[in-house]
Amino acid sequence: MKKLMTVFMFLLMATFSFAQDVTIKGKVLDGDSGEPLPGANILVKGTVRGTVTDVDGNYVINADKNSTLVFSFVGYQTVEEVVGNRSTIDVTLAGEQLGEVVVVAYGTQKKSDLTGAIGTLSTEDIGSQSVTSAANALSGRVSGVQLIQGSGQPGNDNPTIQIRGIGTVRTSAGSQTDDSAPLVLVDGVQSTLNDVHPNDIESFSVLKDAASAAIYGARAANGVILVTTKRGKSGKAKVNFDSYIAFQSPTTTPKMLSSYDFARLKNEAQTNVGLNEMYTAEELELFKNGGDSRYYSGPTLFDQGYVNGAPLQNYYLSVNGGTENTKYLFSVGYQDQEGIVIETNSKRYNFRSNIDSKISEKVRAGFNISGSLTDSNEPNYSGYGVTQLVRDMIRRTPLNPMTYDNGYVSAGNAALVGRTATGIHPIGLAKYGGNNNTKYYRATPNVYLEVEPVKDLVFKANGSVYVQDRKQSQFRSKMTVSDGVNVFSSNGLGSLLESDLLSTTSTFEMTGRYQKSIGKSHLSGLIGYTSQSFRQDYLAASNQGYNSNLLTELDAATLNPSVSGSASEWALESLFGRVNYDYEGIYLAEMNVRYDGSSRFGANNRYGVFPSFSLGWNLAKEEFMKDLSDINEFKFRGSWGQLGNQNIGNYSSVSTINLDQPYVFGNSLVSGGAAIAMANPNVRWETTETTDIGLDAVLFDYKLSLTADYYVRKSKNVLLSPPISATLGNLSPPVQNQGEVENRGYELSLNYYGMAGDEFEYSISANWSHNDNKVLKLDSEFLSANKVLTKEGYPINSFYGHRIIGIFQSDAEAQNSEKYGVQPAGSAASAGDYIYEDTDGNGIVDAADRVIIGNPNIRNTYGMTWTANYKGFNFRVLFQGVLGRDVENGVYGTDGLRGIENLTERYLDRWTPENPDTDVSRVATNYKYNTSLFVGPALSNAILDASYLRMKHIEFGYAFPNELTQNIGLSNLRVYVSGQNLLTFTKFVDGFDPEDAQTFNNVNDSYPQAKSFTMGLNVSF
Amino acid sequence: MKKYIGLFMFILTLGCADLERYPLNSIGAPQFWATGDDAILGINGVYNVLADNQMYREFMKHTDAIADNAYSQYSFNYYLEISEGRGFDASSVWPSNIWKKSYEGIVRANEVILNVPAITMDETLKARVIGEAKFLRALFYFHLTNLYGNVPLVITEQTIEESLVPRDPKSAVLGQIFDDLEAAAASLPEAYGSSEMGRATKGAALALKARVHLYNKEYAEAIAASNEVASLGYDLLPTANFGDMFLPSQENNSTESIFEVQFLGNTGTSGVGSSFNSSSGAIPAFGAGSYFPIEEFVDFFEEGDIRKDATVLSDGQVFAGIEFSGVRTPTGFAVIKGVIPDEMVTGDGDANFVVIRFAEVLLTIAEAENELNGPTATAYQAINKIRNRAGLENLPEGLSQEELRAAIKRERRVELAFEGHHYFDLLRYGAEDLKEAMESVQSVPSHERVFDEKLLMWPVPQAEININPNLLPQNPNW
Repeated sequence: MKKLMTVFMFLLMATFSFAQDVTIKGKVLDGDSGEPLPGANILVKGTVRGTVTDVDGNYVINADKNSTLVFSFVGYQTVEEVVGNRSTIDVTLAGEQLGEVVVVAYGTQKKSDLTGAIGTLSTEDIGSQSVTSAANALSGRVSGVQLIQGSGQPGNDNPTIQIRGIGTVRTSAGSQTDDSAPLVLVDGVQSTLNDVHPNDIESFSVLKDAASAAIYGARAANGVILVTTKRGKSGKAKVNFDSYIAFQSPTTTPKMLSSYDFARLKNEAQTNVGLNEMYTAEELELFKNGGDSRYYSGPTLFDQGYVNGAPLQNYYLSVNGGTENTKYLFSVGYQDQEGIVIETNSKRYNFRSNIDSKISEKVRAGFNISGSLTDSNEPNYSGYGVTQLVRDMIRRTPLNPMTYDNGYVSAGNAALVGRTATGIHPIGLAKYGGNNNTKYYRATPNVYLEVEPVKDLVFKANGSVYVQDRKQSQFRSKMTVSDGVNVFSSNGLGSLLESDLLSTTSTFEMTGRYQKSIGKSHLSGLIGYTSQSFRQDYLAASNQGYNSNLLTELDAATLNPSVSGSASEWALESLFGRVNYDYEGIYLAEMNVRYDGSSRFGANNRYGVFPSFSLGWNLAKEEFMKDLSDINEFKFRGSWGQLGNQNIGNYSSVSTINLDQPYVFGNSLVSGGAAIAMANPNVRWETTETTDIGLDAVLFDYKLSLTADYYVRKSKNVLLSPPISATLGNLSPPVQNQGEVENRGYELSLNYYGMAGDEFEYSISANWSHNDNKVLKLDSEFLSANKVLTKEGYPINSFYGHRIIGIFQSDAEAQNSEKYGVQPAGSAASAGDYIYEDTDGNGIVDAADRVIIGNPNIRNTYGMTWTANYKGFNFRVLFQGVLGRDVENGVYGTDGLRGIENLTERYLDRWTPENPDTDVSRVATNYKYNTSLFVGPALSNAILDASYLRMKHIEFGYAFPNELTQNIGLSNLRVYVSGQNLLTFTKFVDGFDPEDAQTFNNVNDSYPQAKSFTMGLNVSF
Repeated sequence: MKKYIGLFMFILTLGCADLERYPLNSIGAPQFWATGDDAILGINGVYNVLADNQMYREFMKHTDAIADNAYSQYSFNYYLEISEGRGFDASSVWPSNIWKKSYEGIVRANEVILNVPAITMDETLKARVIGEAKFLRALFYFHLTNLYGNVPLVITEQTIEESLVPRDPKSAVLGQIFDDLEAAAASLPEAYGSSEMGRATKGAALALKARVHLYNKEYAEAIAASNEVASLGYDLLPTANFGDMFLPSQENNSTESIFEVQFLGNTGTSGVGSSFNSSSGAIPAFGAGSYFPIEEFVDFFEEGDIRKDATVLSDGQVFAGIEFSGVRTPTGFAVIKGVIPDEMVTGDGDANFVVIRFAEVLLTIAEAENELNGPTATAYQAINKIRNRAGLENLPEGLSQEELRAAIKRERRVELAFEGHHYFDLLRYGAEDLKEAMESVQSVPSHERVFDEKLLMWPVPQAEININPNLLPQNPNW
């Protein structure tokens, strides 16, 4: 921190002085609207001297009388003016491409010419939201994009992104991340969103329909996110400095029973099944009011395990500028985040260098490199990570103190033998049980060469390597613990596991493009070739017998050493092309085709062709519409296209003998070999076909803009592995092409911009997306984890289990239930038990009575942003919500005191004869029929609606007036305060975050989401 | 213009990718089965299935908790449901697991039996490897047919289409088992050198054959096979060594032990160590365990039986230097057969699972002799040998055939407890015995076992019927 301040002060004091011949002032105006144009570049030709217009379009520059000023702005025609004797030069820039320019596959396009469905987000629209992962910026801002935030853990908080729902059946319940994740390209290089510094980003483009993504072919079936980073602008060096500090706290905390309530309820659970009470009245008294340190009477584990006000600091510095021929941007970023669970933290270092150079009139080249280091820590929780700690804070019997009077961490309790947990105290284990460190080193060098041999014909070659190295060091300390009387060693022998996972993706790409205007027709085309190869190498080594926690290197111990390693590869090779045609910008057409080959398919079906077409009609540009002045733009568009999916694992088409089938002979390990999977040499591409119709309109003097889309996205020849007969040797089934999945939905976004008076500006944006998922065709249904069903006619991964329809009020009713059928517990059923629905009405409740009880696919997402600016003040608020998503609330905290695991406070409202009007069952020792543990883990009371509306971001900022900042040599000085996730409205289970809720989390162990309060500063000069 | 095109064509040649990619850690199936080393890898891969959780690592010892020797606390592993006789059906986990795991072993053995003959290698070794595969295939089919009755008899390679076969009669499966065991007995050695210790022997093949005949009520054949085993020199260990027999110190002893599933802890490889320590609950550091002797079983031991303290841990008994407290487990007892008395042995231990030992062969002789010829001296001699080793008196003279049958059943239950016998014995004894056993369990709170005739066989897994409807009809009443 101190170091950075020094750098900052140095930069602040640095002054830039130039020869001063003449001072020229002026204003730059937009030729179309006549409004001032802020941010336009003014450069003294042939020098590095330059400036930028302010918010009112004004500029001031010093230049020689004989020099020429170059006025430029993206999307406008560049204008050159010789200075001469003038001291004021006002310039009007004509729109080269009127209106917004959108980054599309392999280029840019005017938004008014778009015929595909593309959602865009510029970083200006994000404001000062302190996102730790760039992906989070998309939340609530781009329609059709669904984020599932599985974890808030520092360094591990990247959300799962889905664009227009899940299109492939292979998405298993356990790993929803892999197969339905979109392709992410950062400046055209395949990458991930977690290694781009959010401040480096200029814009996001989300390619949603097949037509706009088709050119990426095989990798694009789940949509594409294009990230464009900021680049240098010609002119004198411009320095930007951004920093903020945020204080984070969990959005909500699970409410677990205190030791007293636990003991009281456990006694009840015992007497409910005819057993003796477990805790005496004196012991209950000790749990309630304290008095004996062996009987814990303090706050719950979450009070000790969650952290409030954990600091998050972020610093970002960039310098950009350049001459007419060479432009540069350099940036460095540093982030230091303390976690909101104890013993977790992460630091991230980023750098980026973007250099573009015009070598000659016909040749341009560039070199970009970016990199990052993420260094994260979490407790080594007996070999597991922090989620195991969260899990234990929920389920652990709350009766033991963290340490005894003898100073040792507790493990069991001699005063409560057989009546409390025997393991090491969760907080003690997290603090003293060791540490897991994960470092990600990432680097992406990228070079390009662009040649324009004749006008409008451009060839480009582009090569990049994305290297990611994950180094993990997991140290598990031997601990000395106590049960209050005995002192003993626990938590293993002292062990260290070190691993290294190196992944390299090399991409080579070559494109040629040409454009030509013939009369009123405009034609452009692109052809290209790309190849990509991937390799991953894994190496791990471990040792045991570490007696000191200070020696944590592999060579510091020698007990039970072990090594392992593996490697895998895939490669992709493709040809692609695109043709765009428009007639006066009124009638638009685009055609794409991609020819893909993948190593993942057998030689028989290695290649696939993926075409797409789209059409647009700019109604507002027609003669007959010219008189309707309220309609500025009005465009219909429609598209159809096919995309491929190759997510079948690397070697599905090759049959092999697996050599990891060990056995023991003569007391030593020997290798064994066997086929473990059946291969399908005929497996071929899964095809996703999307039809999209859309409308873009700009109305009322550019104040209101509207985009609407309706789409049908069908995946055909879906890659899946239907089960095969076990008599083939219990082999994992081969991937086959069968089945059909449909996602159908609509998206709507609106944006209104207005002025009140001269200086008060405001805007309102809102978006709504709806998606319905359905399996159209599937030969045999899949049930995974005994609770997640994929079946024809239903949404993918539907929850499947027993439906609870009430609670029995008497033993007689429970045991002789003619009305409800024989319950699973039979004659052991009792008052206070759940009534399970006998859905088939055969008088017996059994596995055949299970039905679909929930849909985990998000049905609706929406977002709303309001902004207001007055003079230097700005206000911004973003609300984001999900309507319609079912998730599983795990078994921990809800097992009805079968054993001695803790419960949530929901059980304070359990059924008792005195409290008959409730939806929570009785508690009962050893009794499983009120829990998800009976016959299958899904019960309707555990499948909950995780809809929510959340104030994601709120911000107040103040930019000091230019007159003031210029006096201290700054072009911009802004301070702000903001808050993230400050308000949430939901009916989800109290104490758990609906956004955090992983869909299939049987054990409730998500790392919590943070709400935070931020103070920040932006400076530029 | 031309020079630019040339330049780009040159760059293009540098950028091409090779789309032929193969796994880097596995051998392509067509290249395998070429050498003697492949034969050894292949047969080891069959043994690998034996050590699986769904075979001898977890399932077999928990069958005693399905039967009336023990209680399994956790319902999510389904032993509890099966023991209670309800809450499990054709869709439950275990019927599916055992079916699949057995065929995994069978098909791996088939591959060896079908492919090894064509390999050019040492002929003695070749015969031995094929013999091992046949022994293992017989063992897997034996488990399968005990639980499911009629099952598809698969001994050739199948395609997906060919795999949709109906079930074969149990008699056909038994025929194959006997053919395999006879072939194995003919080609397997009587013993191995130290580095191969643990492979199937001639004694193992004959002893398994005796067991299958006994189950099949072919008493004369059971006696003949048992006598052949005895003639190989097996004998009981002394009284003092009874408990050690299940610990690493006496592993693979050649006197009493006939076949053991081999385990080794602390190798850094998962699944090759045994789990007796972690599942017993005898050692406090590893939590509660997953199966516990019930009071009725503990009371079943006769006064002075040394096997009691070597099998079950009771309140106040000191084990691994720690005094056991009955309140720690749901039944008040813990299993210690196979549990290493060392609190540092966590999940994976070295203790082997003893599948066949000579005591069982003696009990087979006693039972078969009594069934065939009544309470003869041979029958008495065999069972008394077991009783004397356990520190008990001879059985009283003059028992009726009926009384001796009951005595042999009692002896099998205590001698072979937690070795994967008792549940299968109850199934073969029949409805009356199974009903009595289930209803005898009264001491565990909230735990009631309800007999039903259908429980004598497991249902064929519904998931397999969905794939292959030719497996219908389902077993009776499921």
